Amino acid sequence: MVKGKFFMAAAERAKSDVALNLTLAVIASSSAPLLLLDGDLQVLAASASFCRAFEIKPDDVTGRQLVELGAGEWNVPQLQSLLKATASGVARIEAYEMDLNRVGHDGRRLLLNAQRLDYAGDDETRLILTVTDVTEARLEKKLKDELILKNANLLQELQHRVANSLQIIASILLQSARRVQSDETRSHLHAAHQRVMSVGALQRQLAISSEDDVHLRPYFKELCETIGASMIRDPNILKLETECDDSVVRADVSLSLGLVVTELVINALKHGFPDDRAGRIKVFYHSEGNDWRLSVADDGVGMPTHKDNARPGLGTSIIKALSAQLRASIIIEDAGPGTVISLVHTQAAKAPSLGPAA
Amino acid sequence: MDMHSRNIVLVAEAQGLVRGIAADVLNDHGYEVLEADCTEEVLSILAERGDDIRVLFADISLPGSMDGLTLAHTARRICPWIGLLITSGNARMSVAGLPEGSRFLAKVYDVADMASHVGALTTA
Repeated sequence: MVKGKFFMAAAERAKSDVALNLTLAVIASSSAPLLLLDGDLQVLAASASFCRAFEIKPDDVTGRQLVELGAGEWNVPQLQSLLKATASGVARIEAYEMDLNRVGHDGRRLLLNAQRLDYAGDDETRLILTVTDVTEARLEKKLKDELILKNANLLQELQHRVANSLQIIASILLQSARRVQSDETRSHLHAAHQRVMSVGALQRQLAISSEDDVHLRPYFKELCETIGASMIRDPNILKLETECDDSVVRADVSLSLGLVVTELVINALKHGFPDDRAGRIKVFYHSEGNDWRLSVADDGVGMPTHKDNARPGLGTSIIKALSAQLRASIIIEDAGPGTVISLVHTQAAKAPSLGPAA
Repeated sequence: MDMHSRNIVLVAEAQGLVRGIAADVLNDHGYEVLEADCTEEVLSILAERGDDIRVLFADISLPGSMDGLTLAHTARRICPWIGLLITSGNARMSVAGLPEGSRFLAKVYDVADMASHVGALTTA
């Protein structure tokens, strides 16, 4: 093998060395910019891609010190000491980032990897240094991060505004309920307050999940806790429970489902349990594939039998509108005691025109 | 209600309507209420009337030179007896980082809930 000191001067002679030729050819043709260095950081070979990327004349590379390349922009003390440490085997440069500053050029962000080559039969030290220009990638990431942060800030601002608006509406409704004389009006205002609170519960759930999908179990649980806290006078007498599988739905679907639950529970509270009657209301949700069933069951006094008492209120029209939107059928069953009202969505019966089964 | 009648509650909230309604509700529950719409106003009211103020009910994103968390800690330092009820439109917030004994109520809150939290803080 040719000795290192003679390497450059002996470049012509080295042509006879097939192995060396192959090595140099491999380096020269590498599409990734790379340098072959000796232990004193003298350049033994450079890839054409390196010369192209950093505007260095290909015939003025070999035999030069790394620090002399170009106009001296590679003279970076920290890089030198890292390469020396790599050459002596005490370190390895892995993903070292540095800025290359050339006169008349914008700074480039480089990612460097260096490795000492171990091969049998020669005690000369050889280093291979690969250089990746990551300027664009870093810039892109920075812009992306900034955009994400900006969006997150906007979203949070929007959530604050929505929360404040809902807070105003909910507070006014409840304050009004405190001041009216008529029991009927008061109960309407309480129900309206509850509807706003239900939207607020969803808003919170959405903000927490940070996704566009909503997990129904915690959402229904929180929703029913809110309804219970504001509409059930004595939770020891009247219990409101949820039983929900692990279903996850889109935000708009969850809003519809949540409003249906609100209406059905308000309905059950209003009609099922007169005169502080004890009992239990249970909200079920179960899905299988694309089919799902949402039920609100109570063990109250049951459905009104006279048509006069069954006059549809605001709740009924809301439930009908929402079930049509959810492409579900409404099924009302007499549970004796009590009532079970279900919304059922099956893939086959998706046409809302089929109408309520009851 | 009467047992709280000498308790002053300081409501700190930038949104006038939200603040006004909270003040109304607390008035209805028998509290005397002072209002502030920024952190500076909270601090100046605490400096003047701090001795009479039992509870600070504040939105954590109150505008001003101080952030809400620092305000809560500062209020506790000026008035060690003060009960803190913190609200926020940011649902991810919790009592973590707030002074000891603070309560947190996410917006949209039920004003009746809010009043009972204030009640619990004044009797604590």
